Amino acid sequence: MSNDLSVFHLIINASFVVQFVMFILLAASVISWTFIFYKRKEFRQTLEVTEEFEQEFWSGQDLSELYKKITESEFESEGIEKIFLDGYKEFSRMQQKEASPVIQVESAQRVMNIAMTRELDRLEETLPFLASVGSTSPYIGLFGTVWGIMNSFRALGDVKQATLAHVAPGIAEALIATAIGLFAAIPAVVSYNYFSTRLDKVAGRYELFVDEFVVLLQRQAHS
Amino acid sequence: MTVFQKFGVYFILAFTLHLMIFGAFGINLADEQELIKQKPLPEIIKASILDDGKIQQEATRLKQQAKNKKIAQNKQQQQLENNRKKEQQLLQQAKKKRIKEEKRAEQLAVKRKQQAVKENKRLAEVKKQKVLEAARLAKIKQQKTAEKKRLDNLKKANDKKRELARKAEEKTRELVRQAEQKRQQVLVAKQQQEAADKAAQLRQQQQARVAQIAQNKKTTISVTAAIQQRVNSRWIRPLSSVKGLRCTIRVKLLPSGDVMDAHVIKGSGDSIFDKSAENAVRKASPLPVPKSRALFSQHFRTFTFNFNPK
Repeated sequence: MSNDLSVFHLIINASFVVQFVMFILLAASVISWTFIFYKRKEFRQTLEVTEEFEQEFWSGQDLSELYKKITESEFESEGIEKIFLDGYKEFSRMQQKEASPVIQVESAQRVMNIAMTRELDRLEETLPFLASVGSTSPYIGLFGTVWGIMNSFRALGDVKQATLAHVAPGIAEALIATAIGLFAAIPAVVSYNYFSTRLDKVAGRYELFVDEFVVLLQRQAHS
Repeated sequence: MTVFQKFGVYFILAFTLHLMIFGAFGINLADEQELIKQKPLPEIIKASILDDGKIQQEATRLKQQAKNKKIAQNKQQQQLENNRKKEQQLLQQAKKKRIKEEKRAEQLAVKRKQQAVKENKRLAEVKKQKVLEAARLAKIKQQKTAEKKRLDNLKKANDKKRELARKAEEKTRELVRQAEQKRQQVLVAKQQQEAADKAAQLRQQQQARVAQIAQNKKTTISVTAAIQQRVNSRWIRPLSSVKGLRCTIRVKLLPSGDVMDAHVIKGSGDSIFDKSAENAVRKASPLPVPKSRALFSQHFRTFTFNFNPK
């Protein structure tokens, strides 16, 4: 075993199992960062759309006009816009069928709840991955470390006079695996917490909107 | 949407982030590695056991060292002596050099004297040349004055010629001027004549206009009289009216003499009389207006007349 302690040498000289563990951890880190960037952009976009739509919705313009405007816009409607579209479409369809006002409003509310759940699901996607990376990668790293230390002690068994120089490289190499595990886990945990908080906020906002919109529809149905 | 399309950009971002972090990490560790290697190892003090033989050996070694030292000192002294001798030699050499230098300086002085004599000679020669030069210059001056005189003469002759030419020219100019004056006189006379003609014409025109105006006035008066007569003849006296009533009527006429409008502007006090007067004017249409258009528009387009029936 060479005395060179540079990180690259340690990694290259590591045993196959430890190398494999390191590779898995690195891959997990890269993927979780990919998801972090992606989610960041998605949440920002959602917030923008929601704010814009609410402003327009409460500006007092006619609902059918707003509906037309959103369906005619070139962007695919998402988030709160999608909820509004589904709800209003259902409401007007039931009105055409001349159903009773209670049924009109009820079916609209049901459709909106479905749309809301779907949108929230979309936002929640990939968050479980972040959570599992955050919770498991330290263990994987630990596994690599234990394996590495095990091997280095086994090698120690062949030598009659044991010195620190015999064990140190093996332990250092093994500890790198733990370091990488933590390196992958910390951002994943932090970002998972951050994003789930934001998701809760968005969900609350959507629910509030659905309730408000239902009240509005009831007023329109009974007038 | 494939997975790559969805996450491609973000994946590349994440990958570069990792590369950067590990790059920085690797460099850092390498530096520390070097630091560790460069740390000097502490000196190790070795202890060993001494014995008598060793001490004696040490003593003889020290003696030997002292001897060596003495020899070295002697050598040094000798070397110092040698140095001193060398210095003296150097001093003598310097003396010799100085003497040589002095000799050379004397020689130089002699040479310099010779040069001075030569220089003096040269200066004398230069002086001579200067005198010669002065003579030459004087000659040149003389020549110049002669030349100047010649030039003066020439100039005078020229001046005379020029004077003559000038006089001749003046004469001709005088002649021309006289001719011009005459021409102008003629012109002035002509202009005066023209002005007089114009004035006469103007006067004539004015007279004609005055005559015309007088004519117009006469016509106006006669036309007015004719109109009055015609109106009077059409007038029917109302039964209620008294004699001697009069009123002023403003009449608007067409060029043909037809009455467009007639109304009383200064009544007699009897409204029936006034009405009858207006009616009479209307009935008298067309009124006998002058044929001249100008006169009509001047006086008769709208005109007022006193209605004063007998």
